[in-house]
Amino acid sequence: MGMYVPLWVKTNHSFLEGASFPEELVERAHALGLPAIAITDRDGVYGLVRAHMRAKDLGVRIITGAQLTLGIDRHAHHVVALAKTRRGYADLCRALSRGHARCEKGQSLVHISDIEEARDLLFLCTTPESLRALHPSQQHSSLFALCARHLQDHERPLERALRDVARELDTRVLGANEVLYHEKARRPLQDVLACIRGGKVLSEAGHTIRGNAEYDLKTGEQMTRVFGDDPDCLRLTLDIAEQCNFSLDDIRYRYPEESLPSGQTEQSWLRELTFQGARNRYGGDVPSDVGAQIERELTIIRRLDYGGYFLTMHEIVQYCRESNILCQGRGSAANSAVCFCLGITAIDPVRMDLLFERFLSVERAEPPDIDLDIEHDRREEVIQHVYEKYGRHRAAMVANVIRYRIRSAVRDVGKVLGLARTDLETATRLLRHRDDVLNPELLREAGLEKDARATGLLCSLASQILDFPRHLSIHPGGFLLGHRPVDEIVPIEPATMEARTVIQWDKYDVENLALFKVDLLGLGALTCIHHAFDLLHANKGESLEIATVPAEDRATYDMVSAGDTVGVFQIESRAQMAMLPRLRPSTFYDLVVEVAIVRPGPIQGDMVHPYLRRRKGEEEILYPHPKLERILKKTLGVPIFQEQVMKLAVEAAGYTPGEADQLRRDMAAWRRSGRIEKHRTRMIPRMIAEGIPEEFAERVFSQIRGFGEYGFPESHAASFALLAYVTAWLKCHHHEAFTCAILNAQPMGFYTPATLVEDAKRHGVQVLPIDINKSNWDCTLEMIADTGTVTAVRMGLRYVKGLGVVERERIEDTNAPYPNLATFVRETGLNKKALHALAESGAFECFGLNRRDAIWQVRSLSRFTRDSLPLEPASSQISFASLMNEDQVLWDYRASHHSTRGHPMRGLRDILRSRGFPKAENIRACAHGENLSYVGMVICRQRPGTASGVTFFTLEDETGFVNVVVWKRVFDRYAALAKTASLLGVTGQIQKADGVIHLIAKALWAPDVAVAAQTHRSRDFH
Amino acid sequence: MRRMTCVLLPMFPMQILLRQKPHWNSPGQNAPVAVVDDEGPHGRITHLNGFARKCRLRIGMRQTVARDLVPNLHTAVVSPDEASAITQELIASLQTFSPKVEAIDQTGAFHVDPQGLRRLYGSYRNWATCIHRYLRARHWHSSVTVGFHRYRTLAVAMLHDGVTILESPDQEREQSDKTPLGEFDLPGDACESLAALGIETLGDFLGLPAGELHSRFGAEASALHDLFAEGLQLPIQASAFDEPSRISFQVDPPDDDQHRLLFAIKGALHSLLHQVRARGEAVESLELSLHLERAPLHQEHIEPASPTLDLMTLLELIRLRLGGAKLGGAVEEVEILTNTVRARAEQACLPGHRSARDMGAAHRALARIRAAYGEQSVTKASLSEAHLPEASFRWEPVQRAEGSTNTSSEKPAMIRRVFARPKPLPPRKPKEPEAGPLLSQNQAIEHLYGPYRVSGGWWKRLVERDYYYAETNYGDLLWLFYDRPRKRWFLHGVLD
Repeated sequence: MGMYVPLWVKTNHSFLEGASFPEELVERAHALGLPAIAITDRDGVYGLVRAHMRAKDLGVRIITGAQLTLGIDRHAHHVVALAKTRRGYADLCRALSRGHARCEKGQSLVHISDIEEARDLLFLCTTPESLRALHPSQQHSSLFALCARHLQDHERPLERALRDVARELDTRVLGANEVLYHEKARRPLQDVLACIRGGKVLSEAGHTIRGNAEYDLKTGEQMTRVFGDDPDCLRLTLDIAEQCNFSLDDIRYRYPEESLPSGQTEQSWLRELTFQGARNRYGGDVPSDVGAQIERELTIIRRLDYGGYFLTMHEIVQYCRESNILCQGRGSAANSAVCFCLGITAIDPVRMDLLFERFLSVERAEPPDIDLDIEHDRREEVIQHVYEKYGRHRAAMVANVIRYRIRSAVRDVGKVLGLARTDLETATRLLRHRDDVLNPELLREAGLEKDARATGLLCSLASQILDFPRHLSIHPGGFLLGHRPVDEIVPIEPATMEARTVIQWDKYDVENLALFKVDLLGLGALTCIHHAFDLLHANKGESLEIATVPAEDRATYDMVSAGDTVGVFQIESRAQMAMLPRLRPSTFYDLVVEVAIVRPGPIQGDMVHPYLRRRKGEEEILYPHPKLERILKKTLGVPIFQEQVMKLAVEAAGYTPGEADQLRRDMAAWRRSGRIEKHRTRMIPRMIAEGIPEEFAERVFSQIRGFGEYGFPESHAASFALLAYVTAWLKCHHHEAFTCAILNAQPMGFYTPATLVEDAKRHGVQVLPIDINKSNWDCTLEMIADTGTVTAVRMGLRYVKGLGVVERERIEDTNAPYPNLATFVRETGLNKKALHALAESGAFECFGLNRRDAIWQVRSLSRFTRDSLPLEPASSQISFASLMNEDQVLWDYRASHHSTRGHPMRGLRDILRSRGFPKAENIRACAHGENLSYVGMVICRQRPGTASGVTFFTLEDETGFVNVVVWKRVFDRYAALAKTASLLGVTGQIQKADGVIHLIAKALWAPDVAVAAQTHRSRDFH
Repeated sequence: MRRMTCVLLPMFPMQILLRQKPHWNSPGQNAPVAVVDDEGPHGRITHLNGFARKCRLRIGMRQTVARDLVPNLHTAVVSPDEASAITQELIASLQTFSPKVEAIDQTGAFHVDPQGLRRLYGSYRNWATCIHRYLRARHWHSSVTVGFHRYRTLAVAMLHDGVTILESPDQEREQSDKTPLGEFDLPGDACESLAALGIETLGDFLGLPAGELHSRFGAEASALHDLFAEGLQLPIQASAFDEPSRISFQVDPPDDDQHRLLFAIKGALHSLLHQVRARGEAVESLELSLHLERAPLHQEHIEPASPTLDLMTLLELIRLRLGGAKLGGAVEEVEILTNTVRARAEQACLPGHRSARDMGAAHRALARIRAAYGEQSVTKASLSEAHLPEASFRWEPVQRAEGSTNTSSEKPAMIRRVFARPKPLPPRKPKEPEAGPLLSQNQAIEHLYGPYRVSGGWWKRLVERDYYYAETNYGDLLWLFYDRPRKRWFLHGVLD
């Protein structure tokens, strides 16, 4: 059998060009018995890690390279560059980074000067021009002419010219075809990808697509036949492969060294900082158990040489602290006492008895993963600090590869096949985002049956393209930091977002290569807490931090147990509110359980009800096996946290800690890979063999599956529970400051500002309307004049719809109060649209103008914004009718999405009462099973994936909320109404259990009372 | 008082769409239909049918949102060109009821002058009812209002279906004042702002001081106010009758002698050219229709090299065309219709500046060839991007000769002459192996160069060919291919 090495292979990570996954190409190379395969994606190393990981499994050698786009005389030429050594790979990455830096996103143009210094790179030139251009700067042994034969007639003259130049320059000639797919069957898909890239339809594709199907990975025999006249050029591929010894395993990644005080090593400095932090945390004396835990952790950190990583996280946290930015570590980092003492996390893992091995273990020797939550509106400051501290070469953000999902697949493939766009839109709307199979029935329903052949092709090709990468995006907060420049490990590209750079690998690639990732994530709750602390300090002189908020406060737990948690972090959703009166948290650990239990994992694993029954003493606490008692005791025999599942696997199914960790990883990836299923056959029989009932074993496994993407580790739940407690405490004791803070931290959380305002009003907080002479941009706390002590929330100008950054600057550049409207208009110079928005919101009522008069005036005054003289234009004085109170509320909603003057339902109350419709507060008194009709504003629609198609509505009136359960058949029957109505009538039956009331809908209807459609915007979650 | 009529076809784009797709509107179908301004997901809805409104769709919604709500929504774009073409057709139709018809800015609205027609129809109501019935018979939903003011009649037409006859200007004013302001095409911002002030009807709007509107609500609002001013109104800007010049004459007795026919045509053509000249136009092409005795109509399209008024040039082209035509019977009637363009005066070139190449003569020659051998007789090859050889160029009819742009003096080494259709080579005998192509008995292939593989078209009909260059024992160079799906050799061209 003839042997060769394919040296020009592009995976589907050469976006919209390659038509096979990296793994498929490697598997095919293995099946063909090829000794090695080069991966040379277009302008990058995007698919390299996936190929490398699969090659390691199969024992195939990967030659690392890329297809460079080389700029020569203003023309782009393709040159394949292969890395011989680690140094060559670094040169390649650097050249690609430079190539990308000078182009728009998604493109690269490497200059000859970028690769002049490269010595351990081999260049395979596909054109005479590139060979001639590279010849002066490259060694003879590094330069080759690459002849490709895809049986196309234009190749013959090109090859002749290339060989002539090679002969002239005394350069060796090798034979290699451009491989775009692992088998010929992928040719149609490659054509489709090319058309998507070129924005063409197939029937007019022309030379956008390749002329034949010869771009597959060929056997040695086939290649020998193709290059039968010059077998030496194929043998040369083997020689080249021999020269290329670099493997991704050779990347000796070193985390950046922190700048250390003189005489300190990383380890000693980490130790000092940790114990210093411990003394602060524990008030001088470090308890012995804490000290022992710290010592144990420091030993592991030293053995794994991860000290630098902890110091970096500490440095970032210090920066946040110095810049007055709230931050808190989440995830498994909360299992670490070192992180706690360094101030990275806020949960004491020793007191919480958390498992450090979940975070870091010698056995796994994997980099720790610390996710740092940062106030969401100040995260960019921290990101830019990291860039500044480490430099653009040593810090870059991790990529997020955007892949084809079913809707985008149907849309793009259908367009290429020339199907009508409107029909395709219909089809995509009939598909659900998470569908992974294309049902031909749906296409028929969408009217695509007219062209049966095209529809058949659409079905087949859209299914093939699923999960194919489409383009590169940016990870929300993942950073790759390196001791050496990151662009020696992976090329860096400019991101679309200004001042951001991104590497060519996603977080899975980074994890697979065991590189350190620093996650800086934005969290609105931290912003809200920070605002609230600042308001309390400014208005009441109280200085608070997360750590100094009074712990275990009874009033707070009472409020939480009553489900009164609008705005409280993590426990404000409808599902959480329904759970709280059942679980009735009375300690911090109860909150941790509460946060973790209302998750798809425990719900799908049917763990919720057993836990609640046991907590109420309605069910005996039993352990399926005595040795599981230690693991499950904290949660009454029911596994709720990820760590418990891992420990269960170890104790009950005999998993090694390494296997348990693999289980955790497979749990996280099961949706993508289905790898979790292999654990089923391993776990359940082993558990049964250990004497655990099959039913329990099945339930545990079902929960493991559910945990996949949604389960919480205990440490993570604890971190979130802390923020939940702090926000609940603020709401309970300082509702006005809490409301003001959360309104200024928007967008965040579950509810709209209108709902937050209504909730505050129901709790006795006075909320004052927008007033141009009293409102700042943000909401503020204001002393009520005649009380002297009571503070009210003054709504800020940020809530006027249509005002933005420019308007904010203009208003803040002038000094309120303004004597009259004309002065305000002249000084701020706002445009007509902004002035109209302010007039509509009622902000000018302080000038004695009703809103209509104000609109009439500002639309004229806006012409004179640039006049320096305070002249008022003469105009006809027209007086318009003032608004009725109900209209004022509707105008408020239209102009600012909320109203301080009343609830829109209040205006309808008389008519609703006359028709016998109750208020939300009356419904609380209804008996279980009672039939009634209710009318309210829809503030939230939610259809959780775990609820078998049930949609939960939250309706609101001036007295509170009503939770409505809409079964799928009822929803489908009233679909359009259910999806669009802002004011909804529901007829149904009351379901009451444990103080939780639901209205089970039998019919939905549109009330025939007049209310403007724009009053309420609901937040919908599907 | 002078009367004015407005004919309004409400929801004009929707009506156009439902006429184009009648199955969307068939009884019992209950299909939600929307007109959108763009086919893509972000296209916005501009018009909705009643069922779509019942499904809670709204004007201005993006298509993607609407489809989320109503997955079986039918949508389409009605282009301005389509609307414009149909407007022209409607003008022509309405011109049968009055010589003065004007399409106004509001889409689907027309002013029709009823002056003098009451006597003909008995009353304005009869006349308006005739228009309404005429349109309804052609599946147009319309309202016809006979009033006094150009734009108040439009406003009333927006309020009422069917026929409305307004008896006095006061009645017209009273009714039109009730028209919702949203019916007029005011920009969204101005409309919303006026609504915020409680200005919701035309009457409210006209009550505002005219001088204050431009600065506050823009030029459109001010212009709308001006349209309803009580002063002098612009008379109807009637659309011109746009009929091509035509002439026809009987041939009695029917005759098939071309010389006599030409002589008769010459006389008619002379008078036709006179008409065309009087309109300041020139003939771009002629449609010649010959009604034959006991045979179907014979039609010819004749196009001179350039627009002309020269009788002899046109007659010569007709002669050439008829010379090559076979008529199925004697001609009973001749009809000539001209397509004209505005005549252009061209300056004659001075003798010294005349190009060595007389392109005019070339154009005339080509016109004569076309006249003699048909419209497709003069073509040129036009390259197009495709892998399949026969798809990589196409023959396009040429109207005018073009000078060569090739400045290269280098001649190609070889010329490949491609056959219009590949010629199948003799198949091998059933049991003979598929070794290679088989030529004629005394011709053998000595060398075969290739293959060059071309495949594609899998989305329609798969084509897979292996092309070769073959050198025969006679020294001929052939270009042939093996068709893989058909398992057969074809000769596609020769090289010389």
